[in-house]
Amino acid sequence: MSPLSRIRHPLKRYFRRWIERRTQAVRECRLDHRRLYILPSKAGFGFLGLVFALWILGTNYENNLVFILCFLLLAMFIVSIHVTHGTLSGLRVKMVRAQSVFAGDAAAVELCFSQPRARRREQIAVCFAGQDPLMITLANAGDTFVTVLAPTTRRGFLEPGLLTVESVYPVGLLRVWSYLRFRFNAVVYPAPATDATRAVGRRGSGAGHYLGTTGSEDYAGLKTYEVGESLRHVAWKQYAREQGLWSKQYSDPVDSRVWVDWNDYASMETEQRLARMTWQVCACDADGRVYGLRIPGTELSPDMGAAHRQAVLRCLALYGNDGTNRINDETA
Amino acid sequence: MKRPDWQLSRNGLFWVLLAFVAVVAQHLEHLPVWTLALAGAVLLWRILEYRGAVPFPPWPLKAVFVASCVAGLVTSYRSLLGLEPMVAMLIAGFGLKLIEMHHKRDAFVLIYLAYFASAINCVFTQDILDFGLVLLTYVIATTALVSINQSKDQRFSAGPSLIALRILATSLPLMLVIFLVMPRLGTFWSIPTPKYQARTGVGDTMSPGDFSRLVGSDKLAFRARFDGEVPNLDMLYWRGLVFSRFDGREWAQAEFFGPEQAIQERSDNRGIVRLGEPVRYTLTAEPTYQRWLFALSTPATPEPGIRLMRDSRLVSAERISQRRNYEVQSWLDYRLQPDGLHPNRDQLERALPPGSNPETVRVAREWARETQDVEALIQRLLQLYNRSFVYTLEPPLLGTHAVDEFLWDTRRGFCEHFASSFAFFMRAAGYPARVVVGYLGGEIHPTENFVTVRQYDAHAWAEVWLEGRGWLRVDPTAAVAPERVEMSLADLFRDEDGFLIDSPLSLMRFRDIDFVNWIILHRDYLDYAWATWVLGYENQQADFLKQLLGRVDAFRLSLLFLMAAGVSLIPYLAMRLINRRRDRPDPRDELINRFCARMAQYGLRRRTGEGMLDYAQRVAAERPQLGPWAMAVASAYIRQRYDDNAPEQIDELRRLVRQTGPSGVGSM
Repeated sequence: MSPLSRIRHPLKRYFRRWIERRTQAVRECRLDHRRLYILPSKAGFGFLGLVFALWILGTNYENNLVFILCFLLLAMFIVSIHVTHGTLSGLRVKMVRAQSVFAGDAAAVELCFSQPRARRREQIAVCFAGQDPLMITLANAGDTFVTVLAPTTRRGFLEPGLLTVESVYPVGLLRVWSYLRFRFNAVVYPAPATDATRAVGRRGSGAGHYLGTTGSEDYAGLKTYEVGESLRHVAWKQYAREQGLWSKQYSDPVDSRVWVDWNDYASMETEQRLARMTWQVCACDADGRVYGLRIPGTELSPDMGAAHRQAVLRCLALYGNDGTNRINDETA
Repeated sequence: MKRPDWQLSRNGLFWVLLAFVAVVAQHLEHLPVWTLALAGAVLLWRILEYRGAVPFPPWPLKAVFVASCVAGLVTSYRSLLGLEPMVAMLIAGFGLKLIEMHHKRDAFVLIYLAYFASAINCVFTQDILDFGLVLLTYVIATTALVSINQSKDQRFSAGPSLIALRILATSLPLMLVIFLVMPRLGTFWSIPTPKYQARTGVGDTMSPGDFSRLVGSDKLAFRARFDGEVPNLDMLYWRGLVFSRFDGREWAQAEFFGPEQAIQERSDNRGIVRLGEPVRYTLTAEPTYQRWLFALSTPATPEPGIRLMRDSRLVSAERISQRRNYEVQSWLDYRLQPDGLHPNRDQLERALPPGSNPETVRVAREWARETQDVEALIQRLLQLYNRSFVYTLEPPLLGTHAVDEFLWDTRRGFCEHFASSFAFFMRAAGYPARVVVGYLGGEIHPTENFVTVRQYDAHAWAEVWLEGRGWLRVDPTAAVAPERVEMSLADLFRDEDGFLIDSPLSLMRFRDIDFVNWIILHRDYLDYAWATWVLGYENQQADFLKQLLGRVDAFRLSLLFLMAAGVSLIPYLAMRLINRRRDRPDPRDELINRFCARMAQYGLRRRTGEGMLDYAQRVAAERPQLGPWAMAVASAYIRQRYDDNAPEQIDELRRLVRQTGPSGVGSM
């Protein structure tokens, strides 16, 4: 470790912590002088070096024309502070929606950049820490929607850290940037862990909901008659109305309700349990089963469909999380 | 943060190449030919490379390029120290970098190189027009800077140059203040100066033909601004060099008084007697890359670093490598060494090269015997000039015994021939004599009391030393062509072929036209102001700041800076104000927001995305008393906002919104 980095690293960490502290979570914000940071870029420091070299040249040759050029560049640098700041200043950034994903996957976060009037703002890099930046260019007044990826690691509410919005436009000598922290409603589901021993859930008691494979007990609907099918199943009534030859479909009731149950994984740690339960939920959903969730403090009765799956997974994601700090506010 | 792979846009490439071309064009004069060939090759390669016709250069080719550059630099300059090799090196490096621009960083480096190489041009030339070219290069380089930072989809357009111009223009006030205020420190270390490049001007030797060549040029030699009225033209003998050594053909300075000799600490006033009142003037010398300066005899100057020599010349301690101002007082009436010459001088200035110009020596001795005193001798010689000689720009060529041929055969010549033959003749007659070169006259600016002296004003005259009188100026040219002394050479020779032969398009040729004359006079004045206020600002700085601020202290200086920053930002602030007005929300929306705020007081907050009509219906359902009011406002709003056919009646909406709600409805 070089001596310089020995100084720089704690400084960076300190700066980071300071930023973390002062960046409030929001849904929408306007980039202004309170949120924008501006410092010379690497090229900017090079430029200052050039100004210094010109100053040496001018001083040594006692040449006022070189001084004029030197001071012109210096003044240009100073004016560029304002101009570069203007690239981001006045821009509104709004979080539109975020995708819920399994831990480890990148969540797509849709953002809306808007400006009240047409102004060219080019080369704005937007990204969460550790991701490749997305370069956007704004020209017209109004909204521009962009989607950036947020990395996830742990289950819970989506908390991808700070979003960096930065630009060096138009002269590249200064870098203006802002850190944004969004309040997300989206959650990160536990990463599923395969559990082959429990490919099929425990059978529950009581009447089943789901109509399983083809059977003979319950009428399930009509389908086009195919040659070779039992004539007993032909829908004669429809045939008589000259509506074509149909066969009636029946299915046997299967008691296929599955409980994804916390207590089934008694010997495991919380996270492992949750990971396996998540896998089980996914498996049931893929199989088209009806499943419910039992987890301390919550029980979701068996059901199926996307909404149910989402509710169950959300429950798993937020288990043990004090969810009260999240309000399902207006855009929920 | 990782950046996506960077690729130079077409626009960026164009502007970087243009900056390169501009820099090379500025330095054309100081670059060896091979650099131009290199620049051309590089440009071509880069363009082909961009079009995909050729690949990035493989390393052997790069090695060849670098090796040829190094070889070129070494053969052209032998030493890499010095300004010209540095410029050539910068440009060669610029070119080599140009063909392999892989990163954005490379583009930045190239643009910075353009800024720097272009600034160096100001060390070579400080002409106002050349500086204009440098500024143009700065605009191009700044445009390149903007264009490499723009998104790649930008096609070629003027866009980046507009942005660059705006930024540069708004930097001007700030630049001006920094320029005015920034203290000048003086040189840090000794520096290479541009070499003497066969510029036109008076040289440190004189042989036949030198001066008629100078007449071909209208380049500026220097300017003088007089405190009072300008003396008559025939008094304006601008003394530059004194030639005491003669080898039969060429005149040169006495070695022990030459400029190479270490200059004494103090000026040497011995033997100089000043009579009457001096004239005062400030002289602005163009770079000669030599040490001698020009002044009217006999001068005195308070400037540090300028010495007065015993033969009444001014010599600078350093070579004049850029425009320089110096103040001079001159006593036009003077006696120079009236009490006798130093033995060394005496010997040198009587010396005749053995065997040279025998005919002249013979005649001179004969005449000296025939005339009773030296004045009569001089008169006789001048009469000879006046009767039988022709003053011309195109004299016939002269052989070994140049003075003999001129005096007794060709009899056609220019000032140098007259001065040379006169001085030689006087020496042959037994009197110390020498040739003085400098400029005669110049062009007097009618209103501003200043004189512009150009190369074609170069002149040579003679000095004879007389017992009890000291050195006497004799201008034999005046005897043959008195007009030369009374009017400027431009007027005298306007129609002759040799005049301004170097500058076929010179404005000087068209002085007859009033308009052209007006331009020339004003350009001269502008040039003078440029030299005083810009090039020599450090001489004015203290006075100017005091005048501007009253007192120079930290507080007033910071105030000045703040004002400059303010002026720089005025365009931006004005823009912002204009836009703020434009951004103001629609008045109808403002009214409806106010209405919603009032409703919120009753506990009925309008939901996000809730239409105005839905909202009013909800209000009516939850608070029947408020219903009619809400419905009235909502329908008025919808009519005003969305129905294009409805007459504009914002006042109606305003009245409705401001209406007090039904009594008896308390807030919750």
